Amino acid sequence: MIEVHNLVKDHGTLRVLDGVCLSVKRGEVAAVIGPSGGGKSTLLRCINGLETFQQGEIGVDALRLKPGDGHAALHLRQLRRRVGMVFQQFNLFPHMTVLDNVLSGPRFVLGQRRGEAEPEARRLLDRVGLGDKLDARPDQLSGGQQQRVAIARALAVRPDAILFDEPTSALDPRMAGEVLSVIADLARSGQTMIVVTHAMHFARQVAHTVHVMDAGRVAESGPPQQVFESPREEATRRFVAETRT
Amino acid sequence: MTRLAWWWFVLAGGVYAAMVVAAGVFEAPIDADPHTLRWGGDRSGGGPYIYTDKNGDLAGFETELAAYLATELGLTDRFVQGPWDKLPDRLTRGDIDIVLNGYEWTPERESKWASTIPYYVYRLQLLARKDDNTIRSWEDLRSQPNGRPRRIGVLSGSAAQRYVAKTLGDDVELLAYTEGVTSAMRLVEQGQLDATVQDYPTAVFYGQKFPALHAVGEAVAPGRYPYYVIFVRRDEEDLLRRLNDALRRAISDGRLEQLYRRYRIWTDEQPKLAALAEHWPPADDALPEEEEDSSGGQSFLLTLARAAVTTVLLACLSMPLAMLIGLLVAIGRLYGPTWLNWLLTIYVEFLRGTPLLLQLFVIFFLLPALDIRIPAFWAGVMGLAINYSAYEAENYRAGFLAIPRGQMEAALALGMSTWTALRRVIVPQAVRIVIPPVTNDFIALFKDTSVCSVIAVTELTGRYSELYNNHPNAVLQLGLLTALLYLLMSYPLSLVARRLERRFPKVVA
Repeated sequence: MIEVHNLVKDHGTLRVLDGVCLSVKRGEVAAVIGPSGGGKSTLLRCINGLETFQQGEIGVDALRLKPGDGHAALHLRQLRRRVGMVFQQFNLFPHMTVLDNVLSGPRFVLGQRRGEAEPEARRLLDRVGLGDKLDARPDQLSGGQQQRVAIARALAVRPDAILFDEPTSALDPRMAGEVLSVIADLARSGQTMIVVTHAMHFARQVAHTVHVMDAGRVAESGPPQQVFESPREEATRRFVAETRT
Repeated sequence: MTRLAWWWFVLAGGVYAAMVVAAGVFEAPIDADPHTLRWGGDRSGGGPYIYTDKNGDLAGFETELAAYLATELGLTDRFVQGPWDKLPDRLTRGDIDIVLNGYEWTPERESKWASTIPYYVYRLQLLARKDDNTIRSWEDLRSQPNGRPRRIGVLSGSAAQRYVAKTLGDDVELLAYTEGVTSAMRLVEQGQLDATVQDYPTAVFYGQKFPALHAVGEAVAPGRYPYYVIFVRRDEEDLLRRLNDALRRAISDGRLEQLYRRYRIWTDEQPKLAALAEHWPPADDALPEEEEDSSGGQSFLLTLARAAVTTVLLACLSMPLAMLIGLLVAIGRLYGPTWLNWLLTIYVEFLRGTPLLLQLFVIFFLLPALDIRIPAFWAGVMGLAINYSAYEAENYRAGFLAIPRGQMEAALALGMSTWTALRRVIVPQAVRIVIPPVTNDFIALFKDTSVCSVIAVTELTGRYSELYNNHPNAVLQLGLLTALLYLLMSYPLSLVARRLERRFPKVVA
């Protein structure tokens, strides 16, 4: 459902993505791992149009993103409705309550009225375990709780796929665990997702496919079993060895 | 503190000291000097009084009179420029030794300063457009052919103003300018005003420069004492005596007549000067009842309060406009195409980098050249709104930039358009951040409305200035009332600002 062909992106003189090829099927959970600075976040941000790229092509179902600066605004909005994103820094809207945050997609993007959208929003918040925090403000929540609200917010527009950009990197292990279990739950329900993460045990246990990115390229792709236990590439070997605790 | 920091402070202190010295040299007031006669006037009052000729030298019949007097007194004359309506104050302060600039004698002024014998008998002349058939006499000014009162321009604080106010009262709309000579005439030419009343010498001198205007009716005497005198401080009896002696000589030996004929301002009233010189100043029992309304504190307050309403209207109409324009400019700069950012940056820098006064002048005096006529009050609102929009634009831009990028990204990632993201996510957060600087600006705007007095909008400071000019003894009372009114207007704003900040505290994303 998401196809990335030979993606090249330069940041000034630095080549951040050097011919990335990736494919994610509907219902698949893809984990993207690798050393910092390898271009993992940049890849995600190119997919939903937050960053532009110089060469290659991105396909989301029938929608295509081509190189260059000017993606048509309408085009981008359609794409982003299909592909949601959860950020490392949560990025909740601080001037709104938890419920209003989750309602922001349905109301301002899908054009629903508050009354229409509320029941589903409440359900989503229940599902991520925050049914009792509807009227709280983001600054009253812990990091883990905020990230779970962010996940509910992304789900509220019923995206076909969700991109997770290091969702637990800003959280301590306990809160990271809460969030990862919500993501795992989502995975089990068949949500297509690409998760950039440093949480190796999550990648091993929840992902269908693991992609190892290093220096702007996908060094290796395969089922977690294969990538972690019998890596084919040197880069993968090195990385897996380093992260072994 | 590091050594580097220490040196910077010393350097800064040195620069400051150097500036103080430079100011001492460049801005030095011209101090009293036993060999110099410092005479005060306002060049912008124009000819034939005091003006700069084609070669850039100071000319005018008063310039020549000053030179003559100084010579007679064995002194060097030194001209000191200042705004016309503030000349007597500068005399009191000691910045000048005499006021010599078409200043009419009034009993009120006599009570504060000493006057020489009159050196000119003046009249007031009504000027209107040649092609305006509806104004053929002073009485015609009462008619209202367009359904509204005639608009008449005069110099602020002058006899012309008092005369028109007294004889025509509410039948006309009187606009008083601090630069009231050529601008009033130009405005009549352009049709913004219906007529102007000027002293006779001015009418004669500028007759050719404004060919579209002509004199209407006879020149009138504006009261019992239509005389120009020189004012000196009360304690300068010797100076007064010597000035009077010199003037008497000039009257009797025909010098004065020659001078006035050269400037074409000699009239058949001037011979009276000799007789006047015998009995001056007028004896106490000859003093008329105060020509102005003997205003007690009560009517001062009412007059000032009425002007304060104008101030409030000016401020409250222009600030929301400034905020709206500023918001659009900020959004255009941050989220629009690059060329728009360029354009708007020029807009902001230009408006912030030039004085508000100048901008008001352009809107009010220069635009008519392009056939764009705007009534004074709305020109004031426009000028204030546009000027302050630049500052608001910067406030909002800073507010927007203070919002983490992640907010916009999250909004966009959900599928919002830039516009929706701005409206629902960014602006609500930015508004909270900018409340302090915006309310500060509003309070400043209230005070800046005083600048509108130069385009004849009668707001509080302008009215104060006028009242003070006519009632120089009431300086304390007027000053306190005016200050009180300003405080009454801006203090509530400060309170509202604080409440707003509490109700909409900054939220940290």
